Amino acid sequence: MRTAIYFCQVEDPINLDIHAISKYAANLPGVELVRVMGNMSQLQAPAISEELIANRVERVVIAGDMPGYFKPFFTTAVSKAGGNTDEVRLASFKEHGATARNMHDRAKAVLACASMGVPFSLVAVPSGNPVHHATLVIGGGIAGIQASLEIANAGYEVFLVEKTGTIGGHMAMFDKTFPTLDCAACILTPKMVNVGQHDLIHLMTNSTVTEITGHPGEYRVKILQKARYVDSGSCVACGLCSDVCPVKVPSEFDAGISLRKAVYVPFPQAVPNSYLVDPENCTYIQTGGQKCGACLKKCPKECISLLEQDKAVTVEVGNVILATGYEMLDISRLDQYGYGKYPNVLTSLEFERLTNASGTTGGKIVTKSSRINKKTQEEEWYFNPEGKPPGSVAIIHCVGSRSKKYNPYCSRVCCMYSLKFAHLIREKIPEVKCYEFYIDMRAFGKGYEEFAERIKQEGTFIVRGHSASVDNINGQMIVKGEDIMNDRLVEFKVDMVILAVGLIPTPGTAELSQMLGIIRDSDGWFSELDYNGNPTETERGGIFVAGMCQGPKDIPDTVAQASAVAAGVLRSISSGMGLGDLGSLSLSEIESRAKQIQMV
Amino acid sequence: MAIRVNPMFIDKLERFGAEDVMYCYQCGDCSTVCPHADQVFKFPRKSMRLLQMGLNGKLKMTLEPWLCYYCGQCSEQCPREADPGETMMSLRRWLISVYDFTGLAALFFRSRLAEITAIVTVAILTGVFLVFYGITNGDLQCMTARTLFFQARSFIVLTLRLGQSWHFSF
Repeated sequence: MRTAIYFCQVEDPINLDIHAISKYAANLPGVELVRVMGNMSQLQAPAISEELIANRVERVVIAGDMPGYFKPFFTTAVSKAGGNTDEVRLASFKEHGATARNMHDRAKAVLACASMGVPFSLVAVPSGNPVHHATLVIGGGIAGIQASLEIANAGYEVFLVEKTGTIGGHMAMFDKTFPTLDCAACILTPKMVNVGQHDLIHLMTNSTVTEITGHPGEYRVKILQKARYVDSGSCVACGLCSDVCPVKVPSEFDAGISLRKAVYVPFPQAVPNSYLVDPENCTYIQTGGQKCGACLKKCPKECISLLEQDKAVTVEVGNVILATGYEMLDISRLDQYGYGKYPNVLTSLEFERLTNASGTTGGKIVTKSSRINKKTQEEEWYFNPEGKPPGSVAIIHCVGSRSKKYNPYCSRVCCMYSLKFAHLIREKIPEVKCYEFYIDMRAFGKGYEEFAERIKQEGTFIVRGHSASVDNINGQMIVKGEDIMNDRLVEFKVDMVILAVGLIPTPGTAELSQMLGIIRDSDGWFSELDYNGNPTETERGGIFVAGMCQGPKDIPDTVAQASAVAAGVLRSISSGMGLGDLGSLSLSEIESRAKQIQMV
Repeated sequence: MAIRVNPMFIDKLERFGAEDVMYCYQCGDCSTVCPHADQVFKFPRKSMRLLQMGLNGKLKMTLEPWLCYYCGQCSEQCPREADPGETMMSLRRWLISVYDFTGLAALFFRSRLAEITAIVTVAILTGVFLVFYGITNGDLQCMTARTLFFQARSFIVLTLRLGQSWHFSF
């Protein structure tokens, strides 16, 4: 079939050598015409249809990172030239992973398949490998918990590795879920307890994966189990050790708004429900046993041993599930919002902990009170449960998201949780004035738009316009913004500002992707095999992604993806064969397979 | 009056320097930080919007471009790097070209070649003037007696006037 190949790019590719690929394309069977085009503005439909007629072209292949953009244009050109519009084929390099290592070979393979009229995903199926029955889950958030439970309930062994002292992740920190306003802990804690008690789930908290060797279906994983210094088997979480501990540090679980001791339990419902020691802040460990040691004397079960060593464990698994989750963007760079400068400017996670019934104020929303630190004689701000409730609150959306300077992408959950905050504030303090500054309201899910409408009707002032400045004049915070809908500039006096901060992948993502040989996209999230058709598998066989580590998503989507991953893992275990690496297929192999399929 | 929309207007303004207008997603950060925006003149976001919609008739009547002094705060804050400051600057250039019936302004703003030619011409003229000034030892009046280079009396008188009124001195 006489084929024409057009290279079209929305943006200039960073590393892809288009000319080398176009040379390869010219030698493909049946290719009559190869053109390297620029972006949309350089395309001229009449000229192209003339070209197609002159070369008697029967099939048009559009190649590039996002060829779908150009399809309507070429369909018009082909129909003008009197051709068959079904024969406009797309060769999408980005969709099929031609973004990193061996990208040229992948791009060529995608192009070869498209020019022969064979779907790439039909041809590029790596050969199967026998699969080990155990599964490794990295990350103990809601995605990791859900995937582990699904697999373990099907009767297979799971190793759940979690970096912090407890499973639960970010969802355990939340008060309510949107849009149903269900209690997050009520959904999560039964699952956590299930994980803790399940016979087939080997829970490894305070652990990190240090090395992965082997091949798809049989990975050998080295896990570093950091010392907890408290024997979780015999600890009954009585809390006597924590009472006597003299060290106070900001609590990670409370997003830094409250203090914890050096021997602590992250939160009362933690799984495993046992205390652990933070070696970096423990006086006994830091001084080598010279000072303190108060908890050792107090523990009635004698389960604290501050001389415990880290230990390395090696496990053999068939599949690996990545559920490493996310982190908040460091917003100290965004100084226009005054975070860190004014005490009552909070991040969304801090506010989430403030409004949580198990939080430091018992769920009361108050502004920060000041006190003099006895040691340093400096003024410090803290949340006092008896403090003054705010009279007015501003919530600013898109802080660090959808910005060319910070995160170019939408963090997807901010609009909805900001609306949820407005509801929670007005529920707890009915007379409060609540202002939402948004750019675009992204209420995209089931029941979300209705939720947004409901919040508007409740009396929250929704300002369409982003605020870019928070000022403090004589102790009164002033938020400025442009109210685009009502065509005016607004200035509100507020007592509290909540910033809906953008999300970024966890810092360990880069290291893990290198260790596993998994591609990350330009924003740092793990890349899936096919965004539409296969959003759980990755380039490497037997390695799956679930939850936020693949890209921002809310709790329902995370749970759905985790279950989908479990289905993929169980499919490979019960059939006995899992997929190999896509990268192991060579260009010539894909070409010959495509030819075979074309013959049939 | 019917509102006329000119969708090609943005391409026209691109030649005056406003290249990134289409990046703008109307967040209003620029208007918030602008020290000159107030309840009457809300800019630069509104100007960006008018530009995106191609309402050059409305833009011609606004005063906003003349209020901006290009402090650059809006461009610094812009999350889309749409450069509102430069857009206001380009609007001013465009408005000047609209007011200028000779068409010279439009030529200078849009064509680098015309701009350079104009600068070079002025530089050469200044050089020639300085050479005369040097030859005559600063006494341009002597040239009225011994008109070596210039026959046209009116030109010399004009040069003389200029020399007197600006108090040239090295």
